[in-house]
Amino acid sequence: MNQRFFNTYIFWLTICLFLAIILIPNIINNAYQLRVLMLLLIYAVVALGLNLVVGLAGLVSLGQAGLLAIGAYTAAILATRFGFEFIPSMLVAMFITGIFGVILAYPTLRVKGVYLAVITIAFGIVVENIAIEWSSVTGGTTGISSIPKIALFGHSLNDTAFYYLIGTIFLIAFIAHYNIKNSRFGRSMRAATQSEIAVRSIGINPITARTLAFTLAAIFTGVAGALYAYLNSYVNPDTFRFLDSLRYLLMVILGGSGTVLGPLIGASILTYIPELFQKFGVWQYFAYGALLTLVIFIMPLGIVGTIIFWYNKFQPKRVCNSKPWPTTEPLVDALINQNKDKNNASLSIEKMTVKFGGLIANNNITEDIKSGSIHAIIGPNGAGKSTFLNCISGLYKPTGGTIFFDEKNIVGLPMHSLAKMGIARTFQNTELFSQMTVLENVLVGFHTQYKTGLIATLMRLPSFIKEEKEFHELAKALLRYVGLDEYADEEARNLPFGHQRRLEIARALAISPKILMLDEPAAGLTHSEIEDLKRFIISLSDKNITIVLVEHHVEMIMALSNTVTVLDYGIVIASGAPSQVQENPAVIEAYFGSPGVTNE
Amino acid sequence: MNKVPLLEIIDLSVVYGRVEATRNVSIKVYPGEFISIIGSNGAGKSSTLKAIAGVVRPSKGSILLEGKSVQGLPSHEMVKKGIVLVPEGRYVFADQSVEDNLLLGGYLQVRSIVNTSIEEIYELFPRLKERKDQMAGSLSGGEQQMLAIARGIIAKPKLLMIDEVSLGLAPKILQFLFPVLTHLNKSGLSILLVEQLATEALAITSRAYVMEGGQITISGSSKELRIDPRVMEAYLGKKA
Repeated sequence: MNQRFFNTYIFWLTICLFLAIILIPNIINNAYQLRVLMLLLIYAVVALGLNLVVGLAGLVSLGQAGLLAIGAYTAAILATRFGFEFIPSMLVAMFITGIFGVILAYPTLRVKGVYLAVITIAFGIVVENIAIEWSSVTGGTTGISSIPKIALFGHSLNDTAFYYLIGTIFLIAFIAHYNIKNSRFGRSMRAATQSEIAVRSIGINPITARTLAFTLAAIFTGVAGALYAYLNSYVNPDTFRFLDSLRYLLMVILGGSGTVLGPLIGASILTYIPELFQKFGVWQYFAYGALLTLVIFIMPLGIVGTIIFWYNKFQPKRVCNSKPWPTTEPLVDALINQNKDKNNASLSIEKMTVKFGGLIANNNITEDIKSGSIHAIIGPNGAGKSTFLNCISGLYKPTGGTIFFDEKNIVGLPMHSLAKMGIARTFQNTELFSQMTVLENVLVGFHTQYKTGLIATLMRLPSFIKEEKEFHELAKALLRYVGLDEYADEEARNLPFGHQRRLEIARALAISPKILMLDEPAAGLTHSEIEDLKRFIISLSDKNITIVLVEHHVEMIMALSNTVTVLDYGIVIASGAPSQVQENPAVIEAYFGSPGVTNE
Repeated sequence: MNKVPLLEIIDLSVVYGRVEATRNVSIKVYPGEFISIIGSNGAGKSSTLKAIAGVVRPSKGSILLEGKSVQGLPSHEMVKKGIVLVPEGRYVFADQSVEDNLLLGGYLQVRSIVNTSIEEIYELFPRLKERKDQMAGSLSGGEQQMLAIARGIIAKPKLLMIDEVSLGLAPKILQFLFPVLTHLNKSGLSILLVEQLATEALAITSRAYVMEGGQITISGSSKELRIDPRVMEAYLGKKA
C-alpha cells in the first residue's frame, strides 16, 4: 500500500470514528448500554497499547491485567486518600505504570517467545496477590470503594460527559498509536523482531526498541486503569486476573495484530459477544469459545489482518524490473559525504584470535585495512573469513588481540555502537526485514539520524512530518542508486535473492558508513550482474568509503582490490597486492586448486 | 526423442505478493537427461524449481510427471513421487549430525537400503564420512553443499533438482563438485540444475534453458548455447 493512500484512509477512518463516538449515545439511550460502550473504549485503549508489544515488537505479554490493576489502584488510592481529581491521578497512574513497563521489558534482554509470556504471567499473578495481601493500602479482597464521581477542574461530570471524555481519550490513543506505528520508532520495533542482527548492524539497539514498546503499552494501560477505576467507582482484585490478561491479548489477535483498527474491533467483539450470548444460559461459554476458535481458524491473521491480506491478493500483479545500477544520485552523494573525515577509516587488527570451544577460527591475525582501500579477504570455505568479518563488525568478541578503528580500540563494543561509528556490513545469507517493504527497509537504516523525538512523533508535529518526508526522499534516492526503485512498495521477501543483496547494501549505505563490509556480494550473480556490481563497488570507493570484501569470484577480486588477504585454517597465509597473491604457491594449493575450472 | 518426458511443465506462472516471478514457463526433462536453467537474478529460475517441488503454489499452469498430473501436491508428496529439490542456501539440519541428516534424507526408504546408500554416499564424498558424527552446522559451506546433495540423492529421486550449486563456494570445491554431478548423471540420475555460473553449467549439461524476466527466452543444446552470441554476451562474459 503506498503512503498517500494509507494516510487518506486513516484520516477518513478517524473522522468516521469521531462521528460514531458523537452519534452513538443518541441512538442508545439507556444507561446500561452506555456503560458497556464506555468499558469497550477503555478495553480498546488497553488493546491499542498491547498492539505495540504484540503487533509491532512481536512479543507476547500476558500481564496486561497486572498493569491495568496498577493504574486503577493508583488512581483509586490518589482519589480516595489524597483527594486528587481525575487528571492528576491519571498522570500519576501513567507515570507509575510506565515504570512497571520498563521493568516488564527487562526480561526481554534474555528471553523471548514462550519464556517471556511465562514471565509476564508471573508478573500479573504477583500484582494480583499484592492487591489481595497488602490490605492496608489496597483494601485486600474487598478493594477500594466509594471513589468519588469523576470531575474535571472542579466540575463533576454526568454519565454522558464522562462518555465523551472516554471517547476523546480513546481517539487520542488511537491517533498516537497510528503515529508511533508509522514512524521510525514503530519501524525499529517491527525490524527488531524480524532480524535482531540486522537492526544492530545499522546502529539500533533492539533492547531499546522493545523497552519502548513495553513502556508505551504500559502507559496506555495506565490511562485505561484510571478511567476504569472512576467508571466502576470501586476497584478490587477480581477484575485483574490472568483470564483478563488473556482476553486483552485475544482482542489484539482476534482483531488483527499489527493493524490500526484491529485492537478496536477485537475489543468490540470480546465486549459485546458475551453480552449477546447471555441468553444461551449455561451454553454461553461454549458458544463463545466455539466462535473464537472458528474465527481464528478461518482468519489466522485476525479480522482486519485477513481483510488486508485478501485486499492485497486482488491487487493487480505486475512484473517489476530492476534497473541498471549504479546511477548518479546527488542526494546519495550528499548522504555519503556527510562523513568528510573518511581518511580516518582505517582498521588495524593486531594478534586477533577467536576460539569457539576447542576450535580456533581466527589465529593470531595481524592485518591493516587502509583507509579508502578495497581490501579483499579470500580463502577456502571454513577458513574463518566470516568469523573475521563478524569480529571487526562487533558481532563476535575476539578471544584475544586488539582492533583499532580510527585510533580507538573497538574490541568489546557492541555491533550497534560500531555501526554508529561508521562500520556497516551486509550478510552472507542476507538479513533483511523480510515482512517490511523495500522502502521501509532502507528507512530503518536512517533511524539513528532522525532528530525528532518521541513527543513530536506521537503528536505528528510539522517537524516530524518534514523530517519523515526528507528521509523518504533520501531512501528513494538510495533505491534508485541500486536500481530497485520500482520495487519500493513490495515486501522485501518477495524480491529475488540478488535484489535482496542490493537492498541490503542500500540499507547499509543509509547509515552513511566510513567502512562497508560486503560478505559475498557476488554469490549467485551472473557475469553481467557481476560487472554491474564491480562498477558499483568502484563508485563507492570513489566516494571514499573503505571496502572490505569477502568473495569467491577470483576475477572480480583481482580486478578490484588494492590488497588481498588469504586465510586458511584461521591463519593468514598470504597478504599483498592481487598479482603477488595470485602467484603464491601456498595460495594456489589451498584455494585456487589446479588450473582449469575457475570461478569465472 | 519421442519418449514420454520424465517431467513436463506447461505454462507455469508463479506470483509472490504483487510480483510476478515467472510467466508461462514450459520445460521438458527426458529420463536420464542433465539439464540446466541459466539466467540473471530475478529471472524466475528458483521460483520454477520451487513450483515444481511443491514449495510454492503456481498461480497457473500444469506439472506432469511421466505424463500424469502432479499439480498441487505438497512438497513432501512430491518427494514420494520422486522429485527432490536441493534448495538454494542448502538448508541442512544444522543441529543434527551429518549421518542423521542423511538418515532423514532416506526417511521414506527401507532402512537396509538407506544403509547401503549411505555407504555409497561416503564413497562419493569421503569428506562426509570423516565428519559423520559432527553437527551439520559446523561444516564448511562446501561440505554443507555436499551434504545437501547427498541428502537429496538418498531419497532415490527420479529427478534431482539443484538450486545454485556454486553459491558461496571456493573454486577448489567447485572443481570437485561439478564432476560429481556428471558422475551421478552418468549413473542414471536425471538432474535439473539451476546455476549462475553459466560457463560451468553449459559445460556439464546436455541441454539448457535461458530465463529472462520470468520467461524462457532461449533454449537448446548446451553446445549450441555456448556459441550463441546472445548467451555469450550476457552470461559467459565473452564478446561474440
